[in-house]
Amino acid sequence: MRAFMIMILISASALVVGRPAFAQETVDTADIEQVEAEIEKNAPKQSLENIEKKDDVKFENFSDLGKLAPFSEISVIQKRYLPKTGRFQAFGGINYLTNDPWYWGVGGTLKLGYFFTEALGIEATYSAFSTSEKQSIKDLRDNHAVSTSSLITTKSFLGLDFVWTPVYGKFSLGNQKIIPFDMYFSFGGGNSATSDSQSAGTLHIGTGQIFAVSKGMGFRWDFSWNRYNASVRDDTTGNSTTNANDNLLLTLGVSFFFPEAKYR
Amino acid sequence: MSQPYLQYIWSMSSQLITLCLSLSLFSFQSFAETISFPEEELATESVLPKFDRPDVVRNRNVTTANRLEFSPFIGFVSTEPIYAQSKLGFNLGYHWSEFSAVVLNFSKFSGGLNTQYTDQLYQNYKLDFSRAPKQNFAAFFNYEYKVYYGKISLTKQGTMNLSTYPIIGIGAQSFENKTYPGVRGGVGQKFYFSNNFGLRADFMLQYAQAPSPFLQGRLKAAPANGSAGNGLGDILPDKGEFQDKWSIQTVIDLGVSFLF
Repeated sequence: MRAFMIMILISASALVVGRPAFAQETVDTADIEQVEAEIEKNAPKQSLENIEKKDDVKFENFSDLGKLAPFSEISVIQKRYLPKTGRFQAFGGINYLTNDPWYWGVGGTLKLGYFFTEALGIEATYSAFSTSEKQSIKDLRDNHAVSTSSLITTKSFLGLDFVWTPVYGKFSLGNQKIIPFDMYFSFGGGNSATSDSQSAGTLHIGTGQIFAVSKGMGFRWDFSWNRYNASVRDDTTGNSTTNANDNLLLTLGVSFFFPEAKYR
Repeated sequence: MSQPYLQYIWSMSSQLITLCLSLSLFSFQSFAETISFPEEELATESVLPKFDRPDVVRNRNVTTANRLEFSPFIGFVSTEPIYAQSKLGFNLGYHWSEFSAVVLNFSKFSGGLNTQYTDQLYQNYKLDFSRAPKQNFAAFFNYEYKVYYGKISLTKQGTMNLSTYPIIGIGAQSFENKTYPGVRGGVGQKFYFSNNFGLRADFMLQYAQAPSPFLQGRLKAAPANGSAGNGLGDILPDKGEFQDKWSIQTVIDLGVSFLF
């Protein structure tokens, strides 16, 4: 009889130990629910000063489990799927000047960045544009004999940014698939080359999202605002003025992260 | 040592040995030798398991099905060269499922001109673009396919829900002389602060007809000395003289969203 009880106990223990192996297979579906449950908990949070440090707690009896850190100390979302710390990011994409009234501007963007932490990094950017005249500038020149030399556009941009990634999360794609993503903000400066061969110091602010396909690759969109001052000269009147130029740049492309992530 | 005591020890020992053997069978299962089956007994095809509930999100924090949405916004037609780019408007929509919504996007243009360019054109060339037909409003029916629903962590201190959705729409723009058709497509994203309130940003490309303000020879303002100028400029053009043209514009709407 005692042996039977021992067997029962051992079998039960084996089941308990065996469960996590199966739980791993459903972690993707479970964690969203887990986070939902955490958000919906409206229990008042305990201040950190009142929480006993985990290292100070000696676990000797089952009753000591009551001294465990409260749930509020746990991060609200599980680990990031796409690790970035100590990794480089190479990006290539196509861009579109979304706010130029006079010129179409479509081209390519290359970025190379390095992340010091999951949240902070630096990134160098080079964008080049192929531009062509819109109907508006043709009408202005052809119908009204207006010199369009003062209407310049951007031909390229070279810059360096600080990148801050405070936001990460998960998307469900049509309720069928989970896609982890990061949202970042970038701030920096650089140099813009204009269509009349000027070179102008440029302020750059941007934001975007990276949708992870794997731990080494993700789709990325970036929306950037570039501002620079450039002097323009009207060939008809001979007047020269310095104008502020704003570019809103939308970029879509693919990011590759390297070296390979081995620590997650 | 007495016989009963030896029997007891033997009994206990045999039970322990049996237990150990049983455990050994469980423990060493994975180290068992490779067993070969006859080729004809092996399965020749495989099927993927079919799960009853493949949903990856079972309990949405923000539910939109069968709810109304009201979203006042400020908008920009960021590629407009002559007319003022800003507008105010609202989205009034109905979500008939978690994935689909139809929205009336109404916007009233602020009127006036894009003075970044028109001031210089008036100053240097006496081109008076206020003579062009003025913009009144735009109304589009948009369909939003809310294919992405997600959750974000803000520096690990809190979470928000968000939704990303492609947009397609059809509608019209009204000018003071005529109403013109247009279509649009784009993408939008909402960041929810609660189950009923969030921020909303929509980015769309719009292909629409509109009067071209670059009417040849009829925009010149009359000279200040009261002379007839070029003989045409001091006669205000009729709004119908402006040629209708199709063009692609970039439209950006930023606003708040209320669900009720």
